Amino acid sequence: MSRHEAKFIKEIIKDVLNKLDPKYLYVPEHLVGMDRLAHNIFDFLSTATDDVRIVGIHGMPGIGKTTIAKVVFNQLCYGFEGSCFLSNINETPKKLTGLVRLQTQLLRDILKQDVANFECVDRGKVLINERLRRKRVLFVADDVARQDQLNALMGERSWFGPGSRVIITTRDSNLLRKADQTYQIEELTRDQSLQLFSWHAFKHSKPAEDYIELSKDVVDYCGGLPLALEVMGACLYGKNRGGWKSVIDKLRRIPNHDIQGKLRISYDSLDGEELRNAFLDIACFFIDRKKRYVAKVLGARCGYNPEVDLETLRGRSLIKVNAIGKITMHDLLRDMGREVVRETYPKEPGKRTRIWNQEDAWNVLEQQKVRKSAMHT
Amino acid sequence: MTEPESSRSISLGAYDVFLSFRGEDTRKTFTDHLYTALVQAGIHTFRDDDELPRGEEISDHLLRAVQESKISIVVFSKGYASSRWCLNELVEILKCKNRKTGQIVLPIFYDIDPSDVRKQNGSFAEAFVKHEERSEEKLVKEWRKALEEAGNLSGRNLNDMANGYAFFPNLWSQYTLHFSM
Repeated sequence: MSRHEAKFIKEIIKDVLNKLDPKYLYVPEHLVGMDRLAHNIFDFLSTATDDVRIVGIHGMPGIGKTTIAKVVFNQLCYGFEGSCFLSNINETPKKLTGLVRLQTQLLRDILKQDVANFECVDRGKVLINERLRRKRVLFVADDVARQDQLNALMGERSWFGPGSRVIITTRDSNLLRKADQTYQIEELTRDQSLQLFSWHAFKHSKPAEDYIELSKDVVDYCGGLPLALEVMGACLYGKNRGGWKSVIDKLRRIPNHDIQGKLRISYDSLDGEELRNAFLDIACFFIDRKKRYVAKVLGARCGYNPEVDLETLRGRSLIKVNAIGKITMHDLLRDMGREVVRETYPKEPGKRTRIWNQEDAWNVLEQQKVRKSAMHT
Repeated sequence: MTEPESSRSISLGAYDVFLSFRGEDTRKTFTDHLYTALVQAGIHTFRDDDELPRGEEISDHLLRAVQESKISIVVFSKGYASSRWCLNELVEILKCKNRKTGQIVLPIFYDIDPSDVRKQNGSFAEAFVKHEERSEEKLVKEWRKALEEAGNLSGRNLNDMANGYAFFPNLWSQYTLHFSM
């Protein structure tokens, strides 16, 4: 082997290791009814042009906006100088520090290095404009809810270099006025719904013979919503006909638009208090935490190894574990879990089993103080 | 309720790398070195050899290995285009490029000019004279298209290395994929 060749092979290995560095994001194994839309978006964004192109994806919660953005991101991400997928933008705190955090992550992901600390959004805007305007970037702004979030990250198209591509996902199509193309995600058709549901309920593209009618019943209650189909499918997996009928009976009583209520059925059918508690703990406190950490904390509380419980929750599609081992949960499921806790004492946070937001915590502590000082006088 | 179905769609790939090459040209030399280096670096690699005894059709097993790999490395050498097996494999590899997990194709130009691959010049032209005599027109067209696409991808060129250039940058074309499948 010549010296050139040895060096050549070294370079190739470096390339491969670079590319294996998992830039791409986890997407579910079974995607149904997304191909055409993903291809259209991809086609539009992959055309080589020097302008900055912006695509908007909108639709109701649980319809698959983030999933489709991930699919397109995965196909495109290796062709840019830098890429960034900012997930759950809506989840970041409304305060200005939240926006600064988003700006910092955008800069860090694209420049692949730490950036100097800054404290105000306007400084962040200047930095993004200065540092990224010559870079050809791929940027996904996922689940944007307000204009100020967009303004902080890409006030102007020219903040990104020629040939850059941007995808915005949102529930609110009003935020997409600047987009060059917008795509609305529609509910799945009945056939597509049945297929997706079957992947989760039977690990197969079609329902088992003697469950066809029951499956159609469930699917009709899910309203073509991928999240509901997945969760209901995973909930029914391995259950007997009796189990199915009781779930369908519950579904029947829930109004059509009440998706959270439908998802709740899956929570209610979790066996055992510890399992339900684990779900509620995660919904309230542990989203985006490393699974190992969560297992440790839950283990300390319940006194046994919670790995099995976490696996069960994952099997039921109530939680996901992403490529870097963090636990994630769809926000509709999270809201459902928090509602379970909240509704026990809607007006008295102090009596609830869990308090997850600062405001409630503060009020409760204050009241305690008031109550205590009242007792002393 | 059958179990095997679920194992059919491992989205993140069973292999890190699928290695496609012309056995006659590089089996005992370059590709062997590359394979060894990949494995030593802890990269899970599937090595196909166009001269293993088997039929014309690419088997399900092999197809699956291609589909489930995260990266396909195609070692283009002077004789690559004369193997029908290699060409069929290349067509499949490029099909996988558009899957949802976004498989990466990394062409290696081993002692061959990328433009010869792209335009089927030089030794590739000779190979295609024979293909055009013996193979279906549709198939030959498909092969040409695949070579054109692969030759346009960002890859590594041994000659650049020898001349002191480390890179063969062509990032644009890397992601102007076509949904023609």
